[in-house]
Amino acid sequence: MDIDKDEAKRIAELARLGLDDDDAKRLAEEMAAILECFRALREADVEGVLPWIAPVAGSAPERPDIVEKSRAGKNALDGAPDRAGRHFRVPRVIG
Amino acid sequence: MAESPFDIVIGLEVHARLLTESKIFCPCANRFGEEPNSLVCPVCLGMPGVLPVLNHRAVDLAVRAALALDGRIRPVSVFARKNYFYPDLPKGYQISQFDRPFCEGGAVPLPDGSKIELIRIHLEEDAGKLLHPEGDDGHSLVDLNRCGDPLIEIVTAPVITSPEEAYLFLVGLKEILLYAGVSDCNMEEGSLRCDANLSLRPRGETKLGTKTELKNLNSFSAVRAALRWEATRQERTLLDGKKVNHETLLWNAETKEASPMRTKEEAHDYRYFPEPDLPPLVIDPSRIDSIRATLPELPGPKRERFMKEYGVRRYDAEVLTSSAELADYYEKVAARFPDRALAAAFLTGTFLRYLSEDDTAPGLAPVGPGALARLLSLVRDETISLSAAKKVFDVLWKEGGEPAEVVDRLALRQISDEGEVEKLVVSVIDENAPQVEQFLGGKEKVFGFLVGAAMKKSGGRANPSVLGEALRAALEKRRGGRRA
Amino acid sequence: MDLRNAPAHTIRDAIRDGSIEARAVVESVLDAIARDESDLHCYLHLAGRDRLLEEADRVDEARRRGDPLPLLAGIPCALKDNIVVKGMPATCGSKMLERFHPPYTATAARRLLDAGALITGKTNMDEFAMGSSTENSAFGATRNPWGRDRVPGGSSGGSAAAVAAGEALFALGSDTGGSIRQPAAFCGVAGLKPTYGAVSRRGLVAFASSFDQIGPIGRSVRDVAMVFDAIAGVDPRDSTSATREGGGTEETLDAGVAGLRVGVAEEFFREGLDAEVARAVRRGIEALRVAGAAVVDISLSSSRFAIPAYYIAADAEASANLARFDGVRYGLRRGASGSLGGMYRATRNDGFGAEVKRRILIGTFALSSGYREAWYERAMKVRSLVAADYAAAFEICDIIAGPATPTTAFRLGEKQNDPLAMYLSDVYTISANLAGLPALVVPCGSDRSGLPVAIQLTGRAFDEATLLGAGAAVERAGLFSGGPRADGGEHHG
Repeated sequence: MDIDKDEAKRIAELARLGLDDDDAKRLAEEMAAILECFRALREADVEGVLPWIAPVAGSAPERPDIVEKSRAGKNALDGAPDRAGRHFRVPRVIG
Repeated sequence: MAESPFDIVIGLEVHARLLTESKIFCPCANRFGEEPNSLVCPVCLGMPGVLPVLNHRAVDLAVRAALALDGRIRPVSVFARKNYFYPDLPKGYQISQFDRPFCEGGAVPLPDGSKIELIRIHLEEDAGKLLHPEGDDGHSLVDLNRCGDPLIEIVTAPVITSPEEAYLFLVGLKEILLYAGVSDCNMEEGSLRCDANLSLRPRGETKLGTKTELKNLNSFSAVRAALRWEATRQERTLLDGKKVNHETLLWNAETKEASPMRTKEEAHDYRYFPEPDLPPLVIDPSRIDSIRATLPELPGPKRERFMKEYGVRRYDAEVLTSSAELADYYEKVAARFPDRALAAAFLTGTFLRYLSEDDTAPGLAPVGPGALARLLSLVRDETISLSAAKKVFDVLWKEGGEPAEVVDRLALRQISDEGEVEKLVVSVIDENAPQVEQFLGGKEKVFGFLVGAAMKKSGGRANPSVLGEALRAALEKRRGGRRA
Repeated sequence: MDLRNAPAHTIRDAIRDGSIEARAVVESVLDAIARDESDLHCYLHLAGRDRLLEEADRVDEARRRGDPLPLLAGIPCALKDNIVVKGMPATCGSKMLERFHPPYTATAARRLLDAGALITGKTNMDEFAMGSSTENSAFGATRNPWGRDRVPGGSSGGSAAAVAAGEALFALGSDTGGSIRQPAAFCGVAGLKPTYGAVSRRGLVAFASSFDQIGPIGRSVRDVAMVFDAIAGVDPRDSTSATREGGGTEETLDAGVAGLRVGVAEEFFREGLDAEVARAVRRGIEALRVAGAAVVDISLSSSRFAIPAYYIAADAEASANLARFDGVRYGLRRGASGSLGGMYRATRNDGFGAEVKRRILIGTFALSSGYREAWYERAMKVRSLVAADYAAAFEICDIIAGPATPTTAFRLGEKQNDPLAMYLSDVYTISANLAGLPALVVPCGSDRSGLPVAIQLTGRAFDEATLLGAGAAVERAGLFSGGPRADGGEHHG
């Protein structure tokens, strides 16, 4: 399975993992080896097979449309890495 | 202006926030305008270990919308994760629907009788809000109150052919959603949002051109203005021999221009997959049927019925049905008052004006349909003139009371007695000899002056038609007398 | 009563009838912690000693007054650190959540607390439950009480070791691909992965949403049944939890296995399985036959695709579940002085360890445009094949018996450099997660060095009662002497 350093970086960026060159190279090799092993998946005959559904099955349960005030929510900003008043604060979002 | 060699192709994506009490996947309140980060809980904050639970009413309202828009409801639909990173998206994915939305198809009728087809409608959760404070340009602020609000996303087919048509589509869509009680469609409060995409294609061709996406459209007119601007820009680009880039543009309502978004555009790979925390959404036919039974008559059919049943003109029908409440008010008046045209005229004119000045809804108007019907009856049986009626209406609106009582209190009864009118006519003719001469000399226009003088002399109370007839008769007699 | 070795259910009964004081029980556990914890490192967070003794005293007072006691009153238990409890940290073994304090309590934990259990602390684990040895914890490895140079297994290594060492009377772990069963097997204790949906996942920090289950680890099968009964049952706040009431498995535990059909797949006994493990497992199967069960041959041919299907599907879900760790609202933040993108990258690069990054990358890859059909969708279809294999097998048998692990506990550091080898060692446990079926491990022997071996029993969906009954039958055969070696010395072999 061909995963080169650039492909690893592209995938890492989708996941916002900031890999440097060395990391990317190493992970690319590891991924390639792992995915090569997993290629056996291709041999499975999945013609006409549907994706798995859990034995719980049934349909999405629905809750009544009633408001509940959350006690945990009151302290939403506790533990925030950075805040300004009642807002979470992050580096400037551009665009 | 030279005709464009291009056809415009527009598609719209509209998000409408559903009128539920609580959010779509958690019981936090679905409300606008509260203190930041006060309508939140571990679920909508995306804390570790939390799970979504679907709101029953959100599904009901989504079904209502689908029915009102004539869409096909899928018996089984699937939620999906749309994965991307943004500070207003706590889980790093949005729970939406991807290849199996709950509704396919549908359409919005336009005033000219044509329809704009929809591709699909699906359910999803809203993201939070970002603020970019001016005083702190190194940071942005995140408010997650809105995060998790229930939305439906309505996607049109790329069949809108002009910016104006896009505008009419939005007006029609909003009307239907308001009627169905699905959303309050308020763009200022963000309960209705619209993104547009536009491409040009040489006339006669079928292959679609490269489209651009327009965002930050904060009103229906902004949608129209932005589309006009973009159509012009794309045309110029193509006529210059250049290519249109597939990009996203942000509309600036102040400068009235759109500019490309400044983030480096990696094409989004959302990596959609079925949401493992939610089993499929199964919507029973019986549930659909009971919801359908509670749908009100929608604007389109109501307009047709008004025109047929009440004989109102199309334009008046459109105004009267622009809100369900106004239409309802009209029907209550029409039930008690046979001159439907007069009722329509009064409602679309005077009544609407008063509603607007007082910023009131028809259901809360100080003058109810019964009182209005009684007032208009006094006009119809010629007890008062139409202009007198407006004076009475003003009193009823501001002070209340009964129409007949106010008429007497203000001494507004019309003078319809022929004898009295005769006397009036005689004195007007006597007092306005020069104008009478002019009239008799052939100046037909002066008749109006004489009518006005008589009206003024009567304190506005002369019955116009009786007065007119009497005046004309008297003048003709004068003329006849002359000739003799 | 030998509090160090007595099973929790016996202690429970003794507290309720007054023959033991809860205080003595808690003191025994605290003593074990004082003695062994610095060596074993089972815990990441310990509840305060004084507080625990106070709570024990309250139980004793209530009993003296004659108040009705909740079922698990005074029983000290440990919770894996990915199960949130308000008032205690939840690190998931990761720097990302090193200082995270959850604002709510997991449903399963709440049910234990309502039943009167005392939470002694949060146990060590592989980071975000990704691993099979607890060596992937950002806060140091846990050691196996049976051999201090050995891994306890993972990812619920801290929970299993704590139970084995007497540092808790039972524990909760989580199992996504074997993370309860493999450490329970390595540590000589019983462990159950319930049917998917039998126990609420609310409050379990998600690894792979359609695989994860919380489950009990205990000194005996009855302990496991007791805890399962307390935590199972529908939770309206978990849309994937089964709409059925939990429990009732302890009552039927001694029903026996007469007439039970036990399926055995010979393909599990081929290469890669340690000979001593094979021998002990076969003895466990024989014990069932002697107790009245019938052994039948079955085949689970899709099992050769199980590892790739598991890792692809689980990692895909994990890549999405871990996206919320972005430095914005809680947890670690790094790179705050740079751009937003820089903050994301620095936070996630620093906060996640190597194994977590590997799995996020594999998962992201498997879902990414151009690859999703060949990888993620295919893996989800293979899951159906695996489930169909089991369904076919359960036409001719009632439970399936086989090995839980290919070897006994390996040495610390032995598999750290070979992630693939680590993955392949999950071969026996992952199929139950792929099919959503319940699976139980029960110790059934030891190897030459005295390291525990377990037999794994897999059952039909929501048939934990039959499974636990069969496990109890194996246990009654007395194949495993139980209790860690007093000296905890090195093992050779």
